[in-house]
Amino acid sequence: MSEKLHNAEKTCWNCPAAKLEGNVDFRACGQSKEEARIGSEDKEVLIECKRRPELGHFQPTITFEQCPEWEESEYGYKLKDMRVLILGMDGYLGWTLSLKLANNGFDVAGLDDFTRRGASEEKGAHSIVPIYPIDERIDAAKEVLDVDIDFQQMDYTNRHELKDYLEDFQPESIVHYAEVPSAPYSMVDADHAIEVQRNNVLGTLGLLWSMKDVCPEASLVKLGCYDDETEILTEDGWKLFQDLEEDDKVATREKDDREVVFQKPNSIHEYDHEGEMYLQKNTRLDFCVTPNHRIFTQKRSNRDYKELRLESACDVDGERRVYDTGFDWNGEEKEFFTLPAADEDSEDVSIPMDTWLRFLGWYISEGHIQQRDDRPNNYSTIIKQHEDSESIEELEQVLLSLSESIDANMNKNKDDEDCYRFSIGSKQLANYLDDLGKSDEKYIPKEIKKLDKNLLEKLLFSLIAGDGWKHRPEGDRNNFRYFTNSEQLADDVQEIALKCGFGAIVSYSESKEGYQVNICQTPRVHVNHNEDKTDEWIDYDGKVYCVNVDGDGIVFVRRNGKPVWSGNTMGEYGSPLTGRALFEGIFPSDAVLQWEGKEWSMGGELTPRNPPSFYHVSKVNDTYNVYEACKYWWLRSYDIMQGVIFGVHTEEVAADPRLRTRLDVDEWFGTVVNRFTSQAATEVPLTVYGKGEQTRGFIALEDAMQCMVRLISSPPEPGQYDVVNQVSGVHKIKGLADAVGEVANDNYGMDVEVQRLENPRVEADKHPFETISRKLPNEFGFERKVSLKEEIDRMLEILTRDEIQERIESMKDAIIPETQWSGEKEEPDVIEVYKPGEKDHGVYEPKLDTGQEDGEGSE
Amino acid sequence: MSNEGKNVVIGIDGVPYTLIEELSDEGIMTNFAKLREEGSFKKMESSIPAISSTSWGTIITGKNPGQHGIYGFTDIIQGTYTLSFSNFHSFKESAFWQENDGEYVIINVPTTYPAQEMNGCHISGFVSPNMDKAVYPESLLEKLEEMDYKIDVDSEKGHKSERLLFKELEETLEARIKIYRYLWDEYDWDTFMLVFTGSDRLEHFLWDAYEDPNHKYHDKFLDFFRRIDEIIGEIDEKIGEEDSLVMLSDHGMERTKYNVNLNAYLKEEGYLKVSDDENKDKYNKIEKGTKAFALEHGRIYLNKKKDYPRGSVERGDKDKIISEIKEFFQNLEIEGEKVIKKVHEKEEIYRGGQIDNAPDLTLVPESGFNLRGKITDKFYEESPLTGMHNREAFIYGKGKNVSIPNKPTVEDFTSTIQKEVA
Repeated sequence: MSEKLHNAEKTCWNCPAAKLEGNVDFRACGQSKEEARIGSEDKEVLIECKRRPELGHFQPTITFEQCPEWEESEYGYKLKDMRVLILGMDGYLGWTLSLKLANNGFDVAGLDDFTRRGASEEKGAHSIVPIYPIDERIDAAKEVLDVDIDFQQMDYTNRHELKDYLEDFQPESIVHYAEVPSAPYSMVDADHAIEVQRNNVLGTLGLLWSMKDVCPEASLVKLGCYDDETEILTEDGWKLFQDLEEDDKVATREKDDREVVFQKPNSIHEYDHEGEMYLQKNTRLDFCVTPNHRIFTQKRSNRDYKELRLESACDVDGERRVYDTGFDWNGEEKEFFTLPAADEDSEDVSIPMDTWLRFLGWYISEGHIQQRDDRPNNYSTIIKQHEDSESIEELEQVLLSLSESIDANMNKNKDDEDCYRFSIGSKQLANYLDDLGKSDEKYIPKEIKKLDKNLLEKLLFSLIAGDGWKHRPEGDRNNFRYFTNSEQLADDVQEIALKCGFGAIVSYSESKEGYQVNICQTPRVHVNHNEDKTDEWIDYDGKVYCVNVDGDGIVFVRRNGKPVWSGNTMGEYGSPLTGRALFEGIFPSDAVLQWEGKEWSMGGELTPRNPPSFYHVSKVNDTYNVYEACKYWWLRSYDIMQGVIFGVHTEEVAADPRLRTRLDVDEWFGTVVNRFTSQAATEVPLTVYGKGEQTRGFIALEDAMQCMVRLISSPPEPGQYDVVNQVSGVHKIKGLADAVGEVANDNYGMDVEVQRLENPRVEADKHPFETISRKLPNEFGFERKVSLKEEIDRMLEILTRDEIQERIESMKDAIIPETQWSGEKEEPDVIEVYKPGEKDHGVYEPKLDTGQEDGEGSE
Repeated sequence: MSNEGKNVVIGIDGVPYTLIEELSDEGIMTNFAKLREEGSFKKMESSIPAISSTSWGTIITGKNPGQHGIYGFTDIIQGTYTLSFSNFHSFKESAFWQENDGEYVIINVPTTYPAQEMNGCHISGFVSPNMDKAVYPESLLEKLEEMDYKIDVDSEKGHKSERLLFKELEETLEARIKIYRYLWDEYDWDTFMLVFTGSDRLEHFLWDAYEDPNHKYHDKFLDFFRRIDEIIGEIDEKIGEEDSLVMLSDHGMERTKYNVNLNAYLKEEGYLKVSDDENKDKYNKIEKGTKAFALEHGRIYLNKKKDYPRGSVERGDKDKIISEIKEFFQNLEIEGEKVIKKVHEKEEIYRGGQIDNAPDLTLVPESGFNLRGKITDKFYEESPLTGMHNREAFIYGKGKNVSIPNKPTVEDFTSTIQKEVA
């Protein structure tokens, strides 16, 4: 008995040949009103079929399996000779897809204005696999594959021309590859950024209006991108779960030892949980866990921490308990701080760490840099304090010590408002401090946060003296409040306070419009269940995270700014901004936003995005346009959140050299695996940016094409905007470099090394950690066919050919990145060099959740 | 067309021979009474089933349903359980105005939507969801709008109240009259065909008003036909000696006693298995194991394996099931009365290339039993509509080239106006 194809049961509703217009009146915002009336019979929604007009009017209930216009194929049922228009047909993906479709019974047409060929030339980087002009490609396709592909040169942003074309061709599906796809390209300068937005956002908007007018039943398949969020303490500070880079070390401890140990988790899982959860929420605690979750707590009656145990939520419910929301910290001891030289004329200066930290605390809270216009070389670091402040003397003393260490002048003046104004004139100092940012971006540098407890205390008290002092709760000598506009600084202060042995909670103050860190002497939190019960059981339906670490499996997590030690599973509850699961782009129907006792439904809304470049912003913007168009005009669209595509191989492009698709390796357009492989092919060291521990989703070209054909074959319903994650494996960048290097060295006898460079991308530390890609396998029957190393091998086979080697040589320079994210161009520094496989990346392997039994990981 | 004269055809949907005979005898339709003396007036047998779509389909093509392919208002699409409503695209034979030379004005023939290109002009009759596609040429649309032209009465209103029904009937009829007058002069036609369909609507709702002289709306009922008679007279004045006039209806009407739900019986007897999944609509509820199911107007189909997605009847079983079902319905009684007059197998009544799609069994009911195709457990029930179809239509013809055969059926119509066509 043959298994049914995955889309056998879809009906006319999904089919572009179903003529709804004139039969069904779609009102704005999704209310349809049928117009057909048959005497006194029950009113129905009736459609006509564009391909089979002889059927008259009928109900849209014919399934793909039943309909003779739909035929079986290896990608599911597909519409016979389905007309597909590819925007950007000449590109890496566009050309590959057009061959794949044409070769599989689709009627393919495409447009391109050759921007990509032009941009590559601008960069000085051509495709390292030679490609042919479009007309030769099409002739070759006819000759070799016996397929007819229609091509027209057109800039799709000319919407009148585009509309005429659409009206003529009547596409049943439109694949939009005509957006400028490069993040670095969009960050070069204003012209490039504006061009990217114009082409991507306005171009797509014009396309949508034209579709509405002349081919509203066509589905739009386009590429999107997204970002997401959740929190655990790592060596680099608090990180959202989704942002965890694989080599991040998370804070753990043993039951009987309060000393915090940072270690890499063995695994992190995200899964669905529907059922009860135990919620503990009060002024100092906030956690939500599954019933069997192990809570780290002790019975109230004990005085010290020795009796902390892991108990299940069921055991703890209703009992008095104490929670430990802090830890013991042993950090680095450093005697001196090195203030870097400002220019060639100056030198690094050593400052006693004690002095530096005390100064830094004051500066962060109260200081700013001033440059005088009339004396451009005169930089002052300024700190002001009211004369009534208790700490004036202390401040003065710190500033004197500092200015002596750096051999600068310190001035003290009083102004009209009875404030003392201390200023130190030093370009070197000002330069360094300037990088710490303006008031709402301030933060505490990582190296400082690693210091030992006794040093951090100095910093902490200076910070508080500089600011928190003013906010100390009335008559309360034991607790402090620190206020800042900078979210990052609030997190950092909390982290330092915790490391000093205090309890600390971060919260956002609406009235003050800033962040408040409440620091208490003790991290012990008592929960009294007799009166003022603050825990409850709730019904939950959402995501749950499970972190697997060595030892007792206790990790330090934080929700809504309130940290706590927890057993290794935690639930997801609370405001969407600090704890939201990956919903594949759209909130589920029962998602709810709660605030001040009120609730709003978030069901069906787009999840917030956090785009890291102007290219990414353009994608977010046009996602909104597409979403709205689907809502207003009942258009249909798949937004594909694509993993990084790599590779050069499909059956069709490999059939003949003239059919080859482009392979870019430059910084603007080359995707990482393609770059590594070409670097390996010329035995140039593989360049890894930053720590190389960013985890990203990947998919081989062939598998990406499989996904696309499946999605095109199984269109969405009228009005449906669906987000689909297209990823077949997750890897860390470093792991990719290793894989490429290993294949090169093992299979091709090369001697390839890996080198780490400074990271030109702003977003490196906060990269989404994709774990969920279920729709493609579950709803569209996708199965990964190509492994990472297989594809690398296929690529190397081509790239090691002599003629290709020459081409790569000529492009070597294009492979080093020039674009700095801030818009300046510089050559980045090399941080280290090693052989692939030499560095131990730990046992941790990223997991890809496909909702199926063998979760696929990296190879 | 071979005649030197013109052809005029007036259709009155759903008017039985007995009704128009009586109305003309009793001085309600005096113009028609006069015409009766000048020409030939006969009973005409309607199609099986006696439904407007099948009947008009037969009338305008001159072919058997086995040839033109329209077996009812609705049909099941091959290979599915999806219900479709036949329209002009579904015809497998051409209408007479598409086949032959000459210029035609065709107004309001049911089941001819969407209007297709032809020589002259064409306004389709019910069911026409979209006015824009109901008219050829498109340029006529403006004129129609001016005249507040309506294709059909709004039956919903009819269900609400008789007052609204009459209002609708009147408005529709008057607009129809306006347009015929306009087109009569506007085109230089050879054949002019005008169909009134309000009659069918009126009779469905208010047949009892006709039968009962004391009924509140009896007079209004008659007024409707008086008005039609006026127009008949008007048209008769306009035509000359050489011209021919044919009048006909597509089926008759009689009093409904009960709506009979054949599927309830089939289910009870184990031939029909139905899913209770609410998401499944209409005939998609049919489950595997079903041997037969019924559509509207007495049509029964075997759930053949080769024809339907959940079909289970093999070729070998066909005959047995057919004879079982036949026997069952032939013996069926409701409140002591026989329900079914005759049971036909498809070859008995249909012939032609579309016979595979024909129902395996067609039931012709006794008077008063209206055969329905709902999927329900209720065997029979009263109907909100007092009139139901029967097979007794009429035909009338005058003019030297018009000759009406004996015992005419709807298949004969085209030959009455097309002498030369073989």
